[in-house]
Amino acid sequence: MTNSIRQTFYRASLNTLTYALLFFLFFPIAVTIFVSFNSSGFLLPPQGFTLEWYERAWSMTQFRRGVFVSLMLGIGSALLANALAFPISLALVRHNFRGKAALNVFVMSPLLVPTTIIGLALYVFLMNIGLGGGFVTLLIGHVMMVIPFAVRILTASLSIFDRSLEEAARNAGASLIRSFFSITLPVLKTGFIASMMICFIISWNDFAISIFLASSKWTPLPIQIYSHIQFQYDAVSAAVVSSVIFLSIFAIVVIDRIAGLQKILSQNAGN
Amino acid sequence: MTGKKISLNGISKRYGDFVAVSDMSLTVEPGEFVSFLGPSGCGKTTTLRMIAGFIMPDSGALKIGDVEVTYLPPNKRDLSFVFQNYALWPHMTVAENIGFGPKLAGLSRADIDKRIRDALSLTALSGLESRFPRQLSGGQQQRVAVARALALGRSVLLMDEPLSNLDRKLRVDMRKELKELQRRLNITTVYVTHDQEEALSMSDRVAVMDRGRIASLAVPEEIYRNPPNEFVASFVGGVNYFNGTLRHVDSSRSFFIADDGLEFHITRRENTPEGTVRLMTRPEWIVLRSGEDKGLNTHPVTVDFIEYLGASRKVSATTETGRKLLIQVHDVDPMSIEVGDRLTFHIAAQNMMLIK
Amino acid sequence: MSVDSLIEGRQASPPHHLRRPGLLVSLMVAPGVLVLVLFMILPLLWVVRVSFYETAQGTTMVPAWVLDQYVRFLADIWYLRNVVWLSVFVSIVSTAITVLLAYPIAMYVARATGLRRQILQTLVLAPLLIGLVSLVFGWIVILRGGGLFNSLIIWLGFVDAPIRLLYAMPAVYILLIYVGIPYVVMTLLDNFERIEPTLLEAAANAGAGGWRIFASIILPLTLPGLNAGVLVLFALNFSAFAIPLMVGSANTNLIGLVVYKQAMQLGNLPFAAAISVIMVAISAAILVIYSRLMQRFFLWRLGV
Repeated sequence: MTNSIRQTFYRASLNTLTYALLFFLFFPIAVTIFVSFNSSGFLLPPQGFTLEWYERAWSMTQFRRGVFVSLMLGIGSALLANALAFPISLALVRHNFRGKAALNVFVMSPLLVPTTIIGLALYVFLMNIGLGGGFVTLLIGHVMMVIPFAVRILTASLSIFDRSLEEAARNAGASLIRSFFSITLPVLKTGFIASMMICFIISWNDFAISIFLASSKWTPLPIQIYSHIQFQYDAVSAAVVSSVIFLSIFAIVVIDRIAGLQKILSQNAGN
Repeated sequence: MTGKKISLNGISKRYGDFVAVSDMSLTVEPGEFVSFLGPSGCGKTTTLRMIAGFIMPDSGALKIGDVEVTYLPPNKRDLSFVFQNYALWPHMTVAENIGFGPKLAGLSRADIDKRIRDALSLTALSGLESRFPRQLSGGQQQRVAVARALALGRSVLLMDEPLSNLDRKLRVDMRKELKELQRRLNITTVYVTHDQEEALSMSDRVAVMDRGRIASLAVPEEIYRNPPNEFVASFVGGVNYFNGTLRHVDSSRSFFIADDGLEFHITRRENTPEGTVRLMTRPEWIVLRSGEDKGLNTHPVTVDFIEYLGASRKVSATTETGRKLLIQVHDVDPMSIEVGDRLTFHIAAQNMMLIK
Repeated sequence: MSVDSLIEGRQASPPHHLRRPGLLVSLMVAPGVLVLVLFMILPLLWVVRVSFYETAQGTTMVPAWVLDQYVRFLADIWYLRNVVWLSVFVSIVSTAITVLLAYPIAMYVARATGLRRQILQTLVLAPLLIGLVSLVFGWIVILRGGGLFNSLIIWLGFVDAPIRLLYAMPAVYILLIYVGIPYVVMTLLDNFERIEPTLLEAAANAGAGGWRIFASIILPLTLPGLNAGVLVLFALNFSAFAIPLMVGSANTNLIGLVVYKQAMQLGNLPFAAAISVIMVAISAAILVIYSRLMQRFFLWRLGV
């Protein structure tokens, strides 16, 4: 009897603690979104709903430029990383060779090195070989950062791919190339989408690598926001940040639906 | 479509130290239905996949019709394959799955549509054209797999345990349907299974495989009634063995004394040696009788255990000489049997088979 | 061969055509590996090389093989105390608090089932994919002088004037912990999932109560995950630079931030390079010591 009361008490405390912590996790995000729609901005009490901050934010050239740069970087690094990662995943899943385990660790290595050092190393090295300060510099940094994720996700989706689908295509008269394009790639589509999206969103939100590699002409959105809020602190920045959050949430929901967030993320933490 | 002959000549395949298929030779006649029957790891699927070209043999030669295909890629072989898991392409509708092969073959749109229609009506799938595989039941998926294979219009059909993922009831229905279809189309068929009932009921000939070799290749009745060795005998059904001495009485009869002294008169067959031999009989070939029944090939027995199986009862019994026997009693038999009953058993003279 | 075998991966031609799968694999992995070597390994080696350079007139790099940069950092008590010791202290404290907070969340999420589980899990993990800048911004709104938190405590009468949280150590701690929680929850979730419910039922059947089950079964079985989380998080926190850069001050010079400032604000690349080498060395040393201790006292029991 007393035992069950105690149990209930413990359970209730655990629930309360967890919800308090979940609140702690989401309060800052909620506050930002709230401010971005509040017509009195930071001032309380709230004065009503407005889209004014968004209008103002997206009429500012530095943010538009930031979005452009970040989109280019996100799309570019997602495409490049997947193009490089796919043959590696194919080799890891379908071939046995010496040094396979080593290769696996090697392609994950960007996750093992602190971003501070990757940023510094790329900055120093690319400047040294005369590649400093352009779009390519940023793109290289972002590709390095997202390659491990692409390899992880593509390897996972290749390893659950049923090889008999390819055999059936071959039996139906398809050449290897035909079976690859008509069967293998379409069946792996969701894996590719998940991989592309996660690469994109990591690049889209990156701060640590970008701040080392950005130049005044090529400034990704997060760096643009950072330099803005250093000097000017207004509801307009809340609107920009909220826009970024909305895109991230959209991506998270899509990734979660098609591939499972925990599966993708924890595989990388498994290292 | 008319079937073509398949010839395997000394086909071998090893993986490291493991010999999957060892020097296998076999000819499947045009239009014939041959099953590879055996436990897992016996090499039956490996052989089938080598015929299909998914695996290349280490040595030997393989012909379909008069064309040597040993090392030809799978898309250059005149055969179609039905996979155990069906391998339906998940991103294509039923019609697209079936039409993929004909399209690759360069058929006109009208011909492709006709192939799809014909395949669907042959497999009773009409109306499901635009469904995706995930929207179909297991049985329907199985039919689509068959329809897709048939729509290729090939001369040889290979099937890798195509019914093993279905419920028992559906499996029994489907094997009759598949067999009828095969007979109607007269397509040469090689069928892999580990289910002896399936192999016996569908095949013209059954190849029982063991450790990469054919242990026996014969018509189903022969495989079941007169298996050449213990492996085949016990793989296709229940069995009782008798070691003893055989002596010929005249041109049609022989006399057998088992090690434990039980005596049997048995039908004399060609090429049967005299001396020490091993005989077998199936549980359902033994007849149980009540009471003091005496006569030829009849001996007393005590019932140890009864398993009720619905259509029949499986009785374990011991003779006076201490021999354990497995006897299957069909339910038409009105006799009630109980554990401990002292009965007699009878084995007809033609129901004791010589085995190596 | 060629393209065919690249895709197929299986032996597709007879054995007497001697095949070279090694060549095919090399072709497949070559582009990615090349890119990684060129833009990961070479730059990292280059950092090590540059750390041995001399600097003339403040920041101009002069190729050399000297230990000047290392000596400058390690012989300066200010760096040792206000940077190295501070980083060690901050990262240990923040990691410890993060783990304490993350553990109950992970346990709670792992217990939930069905849709609730799905939603909770997505909520907890989502901050991992929401950018750091976005998360920091929300905290600035809360922590700044006239922000929500200060307004609240003044209204409640705890203080008379706003206290300094932002651009100071408290904000650095809060954000390190905040960003770390989802990481640790994620590593723990895997471990919680792997605990068979029958293990707990068996313990309950043996007469163990709630706390007893937790202490004797759940905690030991999740220790490997906890340990992995601690390792990753400590390494992240120790080298953190973005958080102290955005919400810290001149008094929150974590070692990663010093690397960043030396390189990007003061332009002293050799010095930044040397500090980053030192940073990795210290971080590795602490992780090795930590692992040894864990192994010695806890993990041997689990055969980890």
